[in-house]
Amino acid sequence: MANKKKHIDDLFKDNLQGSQLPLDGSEWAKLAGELHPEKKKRFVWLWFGIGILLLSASGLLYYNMNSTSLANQTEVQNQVDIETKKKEKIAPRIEDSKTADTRKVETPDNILEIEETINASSTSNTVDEVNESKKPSEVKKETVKSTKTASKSGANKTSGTDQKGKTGTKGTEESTKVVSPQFELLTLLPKSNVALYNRFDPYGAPLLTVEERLDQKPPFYMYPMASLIDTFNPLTQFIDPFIGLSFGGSQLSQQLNSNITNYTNYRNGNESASFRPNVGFDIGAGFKGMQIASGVKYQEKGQENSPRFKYEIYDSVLRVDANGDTSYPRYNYRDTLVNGVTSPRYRYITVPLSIGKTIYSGEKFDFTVGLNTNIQYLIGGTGTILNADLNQLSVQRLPGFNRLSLTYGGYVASGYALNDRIKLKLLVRYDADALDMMKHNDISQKMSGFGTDLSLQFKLKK
Amino acid sequence: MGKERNLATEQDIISACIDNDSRAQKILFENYAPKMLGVCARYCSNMEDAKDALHEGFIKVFKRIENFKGTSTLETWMTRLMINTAIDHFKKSTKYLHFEEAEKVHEYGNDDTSYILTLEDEDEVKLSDLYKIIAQLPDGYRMVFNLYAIEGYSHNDIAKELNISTGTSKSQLARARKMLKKLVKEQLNIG
Repeated sequence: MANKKKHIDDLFKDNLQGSQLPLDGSEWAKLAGELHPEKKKRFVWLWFGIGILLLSASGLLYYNMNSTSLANQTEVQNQVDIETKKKEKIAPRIEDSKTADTRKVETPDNILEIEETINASSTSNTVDEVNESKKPSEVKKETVKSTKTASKSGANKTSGTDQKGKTGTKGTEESTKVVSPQFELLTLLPKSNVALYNRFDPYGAPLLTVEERLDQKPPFYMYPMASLIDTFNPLTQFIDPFIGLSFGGSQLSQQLNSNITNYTNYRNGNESASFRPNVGFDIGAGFKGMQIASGVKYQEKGQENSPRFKYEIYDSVLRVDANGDTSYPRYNYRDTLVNGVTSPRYRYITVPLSIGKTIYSGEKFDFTVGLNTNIQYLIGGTGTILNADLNQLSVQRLPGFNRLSLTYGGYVASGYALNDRIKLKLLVRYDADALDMMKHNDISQKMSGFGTDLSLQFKLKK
Repeated sequence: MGKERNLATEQDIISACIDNDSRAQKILFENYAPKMLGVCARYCSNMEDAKDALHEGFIKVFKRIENFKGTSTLETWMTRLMINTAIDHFKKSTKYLHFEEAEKVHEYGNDDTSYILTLEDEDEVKLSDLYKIIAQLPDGYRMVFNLYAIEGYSHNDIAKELNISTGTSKSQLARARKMLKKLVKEQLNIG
């Protein structure tokens, strides 16, 4: 039996060099997806578009709700003006002309009359605009004259008979020429804004005053959708919404725990703290007596490692050693010249959520105490590698960390209102990792520390 | 729909790959992927990491193929890229970083005849067994052994590649050989 001598290097070289291993078939599909990512990009754009659409829709809804409210206010003002005007101008004339007092309370018929009155007001604006070219004194005289004429003609016409209940309309029309500029401005609003409210439940309205009627909400069966929105729309639950910009930083330290003896010998316990910055966009509002806020934030985390330590790569994979024993190999690069990684930086995109109770002190100051949590997404980590002389060799990526993590903590904040829209806020918070940063089960790495943020908040509504 | 390119020769395939032609890329991948997976598997401790390295390596191949000048064969050029990728991938996928105070460098000889094996004629060495054995080496041992014994790098080249000293390279190689010899004897009964 012939024996053959072979160096161990050659045993592996001869067999492994140029050898092939079978693929399972999925590799190309994965690669092609990355090489030609058009579809993926389109998908991203689709989601981006949907996001924009949703934002626009909610913005529109919010705007409309505010507009409706403004329209209602305008309407109240209009109605009050009309009512006052009627009392001052129409009623005396009616009394003078000994006509029956049928207009102290509005009826379905005279609702139309009011609308015409408003139209007439608009017409009067045009007249006044034409008069602007004249001298103020002339305008005044003409207005007074016109008023007098109107009174007379109004009285005369009111004494006449009008089967459709439009008696006195022209008198009202004429009288609008002397109303205040504010009223004139308001009457420029679309007719529908004013008339809308009068049209609900017209036959139930006559016994109420204008103010009482305006205070009443329409019954749900008349405007079911409006009713539903009013009841369930969460936007109506929020008060004093604001947006803001914040920047600040955190002084973080790292708690390391491991069941690997060799690891814990060197790194167990707290590592030194380091300051890391953050910047963010905030959005928040009052909600059922509490202050809630969220937003999106770019945040860096990390700690300072002593550069006197040598950089080693420690293998976490369980190995069978030459004696057949299983263990974690201690050092793979026992004598490496690469020395020390320092200032690790972990960069996160964070969605903070906070809820707190605010106490107001005077008109300017407020203090808030609350709880906060952060949903964090790791976008990358880097570490600076030093050589034996502590010169920077390179900045390397730090792998092996969980992408998603969560923090918990609390905060105290102090606010100062610069004016009725803008507030300056100083916040001190404590954050601690609720979930482990590491992917590896044998090592637990959690960061905690205090941070401070300075933010400028803009109230969306006065 | 445009006319399909002629991909009869390797040069046609390379030209089409430079133009980001998906069909040519697929042909190139199918032609070379099994061999390149063999390269990656030598440098990784498990097949999952090897496939990740293969994936990253082919991304680099297709991104840099216009830099291929033809001074070596395409296979050699791709193998070189795969080795670099496997080394990078190894560095990236290291589970965590460890800090240790510097220790003394030990020098190891390279001409130790104790690494000579005696094979009998009927000894059949299975490829899969060799992959399994080499995967059992600690990463540092495996890297240096592969680069030195299989790729034919010098210790100086290895030191530059891995950013270590030549002494470290030598000591890692000696340890790797020692461990391999034991594993081969125990698992393949060759000694």
